Amino acid sequence: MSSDDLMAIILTLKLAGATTGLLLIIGPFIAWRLAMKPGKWSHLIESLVALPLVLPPTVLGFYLLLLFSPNSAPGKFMMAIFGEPLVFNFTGLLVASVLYSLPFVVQPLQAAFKSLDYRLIENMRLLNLGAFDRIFTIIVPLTLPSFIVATLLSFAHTVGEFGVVLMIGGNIPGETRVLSIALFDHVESMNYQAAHELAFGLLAFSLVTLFIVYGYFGKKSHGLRWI
Amino acid sequence: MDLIVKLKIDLEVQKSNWSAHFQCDISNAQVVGVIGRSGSGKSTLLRQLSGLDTSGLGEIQFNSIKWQTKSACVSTEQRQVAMVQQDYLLFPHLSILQNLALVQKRSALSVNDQNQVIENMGVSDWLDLKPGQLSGGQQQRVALVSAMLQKPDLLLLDEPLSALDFKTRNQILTQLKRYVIQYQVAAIYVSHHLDEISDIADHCMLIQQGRIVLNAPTHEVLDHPKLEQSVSANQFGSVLPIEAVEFDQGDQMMRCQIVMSVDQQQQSSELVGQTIWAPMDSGLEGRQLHMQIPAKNIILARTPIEGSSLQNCLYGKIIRLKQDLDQVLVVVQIDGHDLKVIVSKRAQRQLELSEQQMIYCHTKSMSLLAPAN
Repeated sequence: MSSDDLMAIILTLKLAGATTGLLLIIGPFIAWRLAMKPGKWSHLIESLVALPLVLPPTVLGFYLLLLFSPNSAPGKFMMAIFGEPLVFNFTGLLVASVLYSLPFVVQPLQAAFKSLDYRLIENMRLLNLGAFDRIFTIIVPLTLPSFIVATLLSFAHTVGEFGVVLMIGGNIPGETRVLSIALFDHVESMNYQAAHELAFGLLAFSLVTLFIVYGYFGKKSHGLRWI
Repeated sequence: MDLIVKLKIDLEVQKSNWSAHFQCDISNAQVVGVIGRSGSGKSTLLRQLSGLDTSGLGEIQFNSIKWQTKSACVSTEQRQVAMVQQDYLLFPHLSILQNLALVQKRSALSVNDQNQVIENMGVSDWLDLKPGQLSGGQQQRVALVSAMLQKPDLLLLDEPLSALDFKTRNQILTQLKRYVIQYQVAAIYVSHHLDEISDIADHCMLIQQGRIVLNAPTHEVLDHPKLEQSVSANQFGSVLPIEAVEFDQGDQMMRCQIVMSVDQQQQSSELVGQTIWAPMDSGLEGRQLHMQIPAKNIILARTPIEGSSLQNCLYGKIIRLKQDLDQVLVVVQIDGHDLKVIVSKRAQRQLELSEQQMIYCHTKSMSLLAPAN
């Protein structure tokens, strides 16, 4: 395997790790809100969160490209926050990936929160538990399998990104050149041996991840037996 | 000491197929009992008081704090209440110790007092177990301990002992009584069991179809004819303290004696009260218990009835007659205790019942609600 490919693998893992980490902070709040306090805007938010599931990734990538462009007003605003334009660099890729993988975290968590017994939620209020206890002593342990499923799916889905990356990340080695792009390059340059190495690795990784999700946690994700 | 200096409720609750309008103004009480049929709105009232359900419109004031007004509502967390609901659920993934620890670190009780409560309520043997390893009654006891450890301003109890057997119920009730006195905690206590209410509550509300129809000191409510519509017919009656003296192996019956009230002991030359035969577990021999005598199962007679299967005949003086629409509540004093009897108006006229009159009260042994072991 070439050092370029190795760099692509490391970059992909870095991107997937950072995306998943961010999503595990943002996702639970959105999921909790949608599960516990559905309001009149809930369906709109649910639809927006689910968009990456049905849209061609290039559509999302295209609009993000326009949005992040330093010529647009939002792009200027984000440049002020991040200190650089969000197109064709890792930060932009990260923001896009977070949006792209959002449903894979929000949806399993939303279902898990909804399936929590309302009496337990009421108990947390009656016992006047602090935020730390509510989150880390009660909610996360009770929905842990769903958190693991969300983590695995979001990681695997980010590893498998292509369209969004191509649109707003381009193909800069070490910065935005992730595995799927590297694979595409190998195929374009007819280097099938290298393409096989990456493709098969991705295939095996995705299969194992999904096998774990469906085989082990799928059964348990809505409530565990404690005894 | 009166801990509920003021509990003022004026609250309308509208559910899809049911509505309620709770109105009451209670002052000078510590434990308020709530009685009512299933579906009358007892649990709804408690949930409104807890702040978990804020669908009601109106006002709730507890002592000096307005929990709910027309425009604002204090959250559950801010109300300083603890609640044990009928179907209380402990956190299933935590051990009993961990469940209680969540409360203990915020408790206003000292560590010694906390341990004392855990010890007294008999849950200390289960601390390492998970809730799923306990029976329903045991889980209920842990839930009660958890609420007690909070040392709230107001303890809301919705049938907190419903899953316990009779013997444990009495033990836990005794501990609960001690707790509210020792730590000066006010409570609202919902129960179907009138003996629990009469034991622990100094004030009582009767709820019928979403309305508080009686709101008075407990002994007045328990004596009120309206009560009969709200408790099952075999429950409305009196609770007499008795001692199970001797078990008859042949007849499988217990000979019991009424424990005289203190006043009566001073006036009377007798030391023990009248005898009652009741079917009862032999293991209760020698114990002091409470016997429920349903008011409808008592036959009044001017002279003792002979040649019948009636096993019990108690002699006493009518101290009160209360007319209702179609029936009469007769209160007969027996060994210093009130025995409530319900008879028809026709029976009252025929017997010419009047206050201060001496009368014989007969009951079948089998119609007594004797305590189980």
